[in-house]
Amino acid sequence: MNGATDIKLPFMLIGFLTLAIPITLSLIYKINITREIAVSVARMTVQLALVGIVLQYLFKWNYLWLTSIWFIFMIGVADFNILKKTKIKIKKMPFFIFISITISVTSILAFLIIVVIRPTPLYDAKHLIPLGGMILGNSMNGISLALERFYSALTKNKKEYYSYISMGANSDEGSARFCKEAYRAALIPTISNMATLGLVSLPGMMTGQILGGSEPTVAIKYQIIIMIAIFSSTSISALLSLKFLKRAIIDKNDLIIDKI
Amino acid sequence: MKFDDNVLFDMENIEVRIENKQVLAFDHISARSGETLAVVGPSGSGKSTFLKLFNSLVAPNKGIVRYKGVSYPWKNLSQLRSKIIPVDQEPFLGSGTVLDALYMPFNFNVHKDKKFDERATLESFKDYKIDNITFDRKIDTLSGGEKQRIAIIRAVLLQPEVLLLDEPTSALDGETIDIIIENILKKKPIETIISVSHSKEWTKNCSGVIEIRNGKIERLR
Repeated sequence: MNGATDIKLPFMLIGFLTLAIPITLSLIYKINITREIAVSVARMTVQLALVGIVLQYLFKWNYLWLTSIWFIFMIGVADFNILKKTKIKIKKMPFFIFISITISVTSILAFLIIVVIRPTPLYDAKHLIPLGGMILGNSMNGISLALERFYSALTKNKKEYYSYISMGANSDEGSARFCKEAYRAALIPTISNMATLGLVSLPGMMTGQILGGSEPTVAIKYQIIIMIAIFSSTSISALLSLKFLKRAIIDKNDLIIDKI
Repeated sequence: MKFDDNVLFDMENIEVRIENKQVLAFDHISARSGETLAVVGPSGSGKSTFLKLFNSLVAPNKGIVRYKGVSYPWKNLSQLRSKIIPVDQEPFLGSGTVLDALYMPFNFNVHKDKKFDERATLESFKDYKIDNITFDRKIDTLSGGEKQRIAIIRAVLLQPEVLLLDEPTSALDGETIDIIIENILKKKPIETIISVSHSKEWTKNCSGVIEIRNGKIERLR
């Protein structure tokens, strides 16, 4: 197979030199982000290097149980990221988010692999890991947006919520407006992304496949189907996590729990 | 416990704490069906909190609240709350039109058998002297007193068994206070009314008075 041209290590290091431009600019204009630039570039390089090594073995051995462990690890990292981003400190929330991601990503990925793509073997790590990772990453962003929006809308509009509740609404009816708003917020980035895809830049997976030697027509099929899978998984995971959060911040009297 | 068919609410050994501070503590208070009660007392004495005990918007840290002999929390809370409807001092009516605000609660499952009666509503607008307000008026363009009256009309339209009014007359002038007294306390479209008020005129027209002072509660008449 004629894959992408390998980048030789010395030339890779030369590639890093372009960083001199943003660093010099941040120094000249005293933007004070030199440290952040250094930390995040270093993190990216080390993380990807390690992942590269791990993936090499995962692909070589191609065991389903090993791939599954890697997935659980990725879901855990996504869970941690969501908690860090949304700053919601509810005891059971890490567990709820884990469940939401697992259900949505696993079901959509299984459908994609078993019914649509059908690689041999079905559990082929080269298919499962990149596709699953893309679905997971986007679902993670969707959940973050949904939870953040729902939590802030509900806590900022307590008076509105209580006015519904006090006229006989149950907690679902009382929080419906905030729930819908949050659900929309979770879906909108993917919707607008789909609408402009391919016009400005080629999406990452397509670029990778073309560089790897695939026909653009094959790359496009994958890109289309992965976008649909991302959208579906985001919608399921956002809705599940919203339901969990609603249950966690509204007590048996349908009152909003304040000590969060 | 004495058996009395007319007792609608009764509360026993109540203690309410908010942020670890005791707001209310009392042994016993009851309200009978058909009463119009005024809750009086200095500001910050816990009157609004007391009012929220009736529809379970505040859960006491200690003690029992019963409605018709059944203690809170009810299994079907929305059923309970649809029968005991409050009107806040500054009611939330949304940012749509007057009609949106009036119609809103009729969307809830618990009120699905009730119909929004447009003609009766227009009649009430006349009774409350706000018939200059059309259904398509934006809520934002209304004065505080007008909003309060629309919220009262909305609550009455839902035909609850009890009305909880928190300072129903605070945004109103003397003449308008008389209109509310006439329409609520004298006509009694809702049988039982429990209100918090600073207005002497209002209190005078209530059938009973409860005073809250330093977290203690006493039935004055």
